[in-house]
Amino acid sequence: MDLLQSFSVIQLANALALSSLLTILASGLALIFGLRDVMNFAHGALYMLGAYLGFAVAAKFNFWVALAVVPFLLAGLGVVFEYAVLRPLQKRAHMDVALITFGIALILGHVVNTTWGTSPLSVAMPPALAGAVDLFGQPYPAYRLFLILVGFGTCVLLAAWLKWTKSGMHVRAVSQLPMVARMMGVNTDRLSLFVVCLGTGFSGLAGVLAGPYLSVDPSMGANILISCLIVVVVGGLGSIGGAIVASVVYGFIQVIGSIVSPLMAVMTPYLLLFFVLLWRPQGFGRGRVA
Amino acid sequence: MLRIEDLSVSYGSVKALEGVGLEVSQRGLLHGVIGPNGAGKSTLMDAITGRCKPTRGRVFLNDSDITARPIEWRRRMGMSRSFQRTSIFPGIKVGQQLEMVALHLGETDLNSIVDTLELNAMYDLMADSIAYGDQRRVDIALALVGQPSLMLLDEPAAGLSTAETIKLFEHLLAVVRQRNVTALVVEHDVEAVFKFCDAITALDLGKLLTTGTPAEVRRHPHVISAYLGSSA
Amino acid sequence: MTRSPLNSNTGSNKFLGYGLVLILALCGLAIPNVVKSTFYLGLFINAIVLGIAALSIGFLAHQCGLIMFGAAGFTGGATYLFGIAVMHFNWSVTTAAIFCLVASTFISLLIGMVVVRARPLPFAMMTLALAQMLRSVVKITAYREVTGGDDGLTMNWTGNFFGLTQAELARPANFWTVAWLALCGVMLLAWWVGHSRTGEILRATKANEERMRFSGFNTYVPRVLAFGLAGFIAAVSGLLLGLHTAFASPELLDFTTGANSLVSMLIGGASVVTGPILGALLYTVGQDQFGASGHLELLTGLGVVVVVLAFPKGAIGFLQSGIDRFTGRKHASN
Repeated sequence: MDLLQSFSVIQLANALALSSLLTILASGLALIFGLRDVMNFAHGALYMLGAYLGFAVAAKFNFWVALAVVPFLLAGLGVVFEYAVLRPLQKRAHMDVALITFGIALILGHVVNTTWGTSPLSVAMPPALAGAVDLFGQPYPAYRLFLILVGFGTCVLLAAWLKWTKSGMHVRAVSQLPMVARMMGVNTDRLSLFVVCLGTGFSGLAGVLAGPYLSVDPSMGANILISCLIVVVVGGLGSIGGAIVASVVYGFIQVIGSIVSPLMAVMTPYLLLFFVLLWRPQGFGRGRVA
Repeated sequence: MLRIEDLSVSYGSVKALEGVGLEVSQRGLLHGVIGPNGAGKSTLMDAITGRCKPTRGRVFLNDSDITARPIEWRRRMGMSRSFQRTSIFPGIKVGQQLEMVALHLGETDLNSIVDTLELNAMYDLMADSIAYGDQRRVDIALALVGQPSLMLLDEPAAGLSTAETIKLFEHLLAVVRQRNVTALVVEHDVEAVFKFCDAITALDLGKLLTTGTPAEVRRHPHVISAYLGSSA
Repeated sequence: MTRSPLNSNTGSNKFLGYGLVLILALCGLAIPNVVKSTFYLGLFINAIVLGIAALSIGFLAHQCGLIMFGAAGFTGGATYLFGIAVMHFNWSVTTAAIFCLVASTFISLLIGMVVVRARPLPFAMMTLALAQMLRSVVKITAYREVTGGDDGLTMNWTGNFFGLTQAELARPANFWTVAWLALCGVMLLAWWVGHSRTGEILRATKANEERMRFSGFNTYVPRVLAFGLAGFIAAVSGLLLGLHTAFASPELLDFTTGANSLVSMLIGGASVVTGPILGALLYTVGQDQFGASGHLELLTGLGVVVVVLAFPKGAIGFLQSGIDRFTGRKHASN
């Protein structure tokens, strides 16, 4: 099969659609790591919870209500997460906190399974986006374009916030030198709360967006977690820009790989992860939240 | 025995150590290394023992180039080190950790090390449960095991009172003479160094100022201006 | 100022201890004669399989301070290797079993050479990634022929495994001997290595790696070997599952499967060899009590959180600290 031929605009768009979800998730994970120094193994489960809640709200009302409401629900969960888990356990070893987030992932998984059962569910596509759009002469699902727009748009906004607002600057300062930032008067606790809620809210957003695009099933949390971890680590722990680039690369690898070699598609991200963790721990990005 | 040539260590644009040359050829000596903060003393220790890689220069042990050798190799060849920030084994008894290293390095007379450094009382105690000063001596004891020919001690008196420092140096002198081992000692307490050491090397801003007997070093103009001031 | 000998256990105490252990081991063989219920025998066998997996995690955690989040990759991987050997290489059961153990250990050593240098958190992430990677590979449609894809790999074999046919191996009453002997074997192995000089070196490296290097020790090779041994123990667990259930599926490589053994280890504690086993027993029994209603993941998740928060040394460690405080003895924190 001619590689160039198969690598059409459609494939490009598919890669970006996949990446956009990852981008939102990875940014959230990177933020939480940057501010709280915690590798949140529950991130995938939060995303899954967001997807299932999105399903429930969309079934009751519609997709747009879900899109507006669920991220805030998850942000509320973030408040609980920050006060009940992250703040009290600040002094404990990183592995302990990581284990606890691992446990929380399992608990959330259980909650999802008991509430909605274990068979996959489908979320109805919102009618406004159900059709196809003309993309360079080829029909392309409108929803995926929407996904790409929202996904990358969110990250651009996030990056802009970090770079040009005062609170964004504080976030960057705290992630690099927490002690100094505190001495300069930055309320690190309040900032951390905000960032954690942002991170969990993002997971909810990604979950709702994923509903119509991927299937909603109990293993989606675990599946996306490892992709998310890879993207964050390879992109550079705490680096939003790096996470964005890494998720785009990841999307491309998946799409190209599924055509060329499924084995490569599966293995390449992991090989990248090992490479980075062992030889370039700071990742390929510019390091800390930047 | 130990010879370093043009040893330089740079971290980016920061030159922690620049072109330092040194030769220690006699056994049984106490050789002090002094210098103000940032002089590069710890970096010198790190470069000699292999803890950091020099950007330039070479290290020779008994005339063979060991610059590329790993830390554990150097230790087995008789170059040991103690640490500025106490580095012993928490959660393991003092006696047990000493015996473990002794067995590995073929030490036949652990008892005399324990006696000399007065560690008998805490032999069966957990290393992290004993007093700070005692932990410092355990740190040194670990460096003494296995009949090293050269010991590098990084601020062995860190955190000790003046009286304790004097006592420590008396111990060190005894150890050095009895066991015929040379100790290169980085130390901030200039008085103790001048009092006990047979030779002194002075560093400042990563560069070597001078090496010589205490009397010679005391008279050196750069050393005086660098930090001895009126206490010379 | 006296220096007491480090080993205050006199010779006779030791022999008494060994004798007791031997008697317990032999008694264990007779359990099918006491426990007649097939259900409970099956449950205990599950506990053994889980316990051995937990022991693999516990061994590595205690000796090296590294925690495998993705142990499922090593246990499940072994089950698949066994299945592939039996179904596609058409080897006899015994040969396939040996292949499974040897290949798994070899692969573990190779992986160990790469991952053992990592700090604990990256290490945990890498083992999780490995398990997920294996799971994805196994599900690749192109490999369905070999791995059975999403449906899993059903195994059939003729011939005997130490005198037991496939049908017999599937029955708890018959399989018990195999499982129990395997358990005793790995426990003995883990205990022996832990108490050897290698174990001492590993734990000292865990306490202060840099100082070990500065004391002339190579800190890399022992840890690679420890990882290989952990991989071997995990492979035993996977092999037992393959022999007993004759089935391998992607679920074996799941996040949650790895979590089961991790939680068992945390519950029981890793500082003694019996810890993870008892943890697995508690977990399996608890799962039976709660599991019927599908609360498995809740139990697992709560287990992790509670144990990490309140019992960093697991149930056994907690008991031991309690006993020590009671008798006034200061125990090694190792």
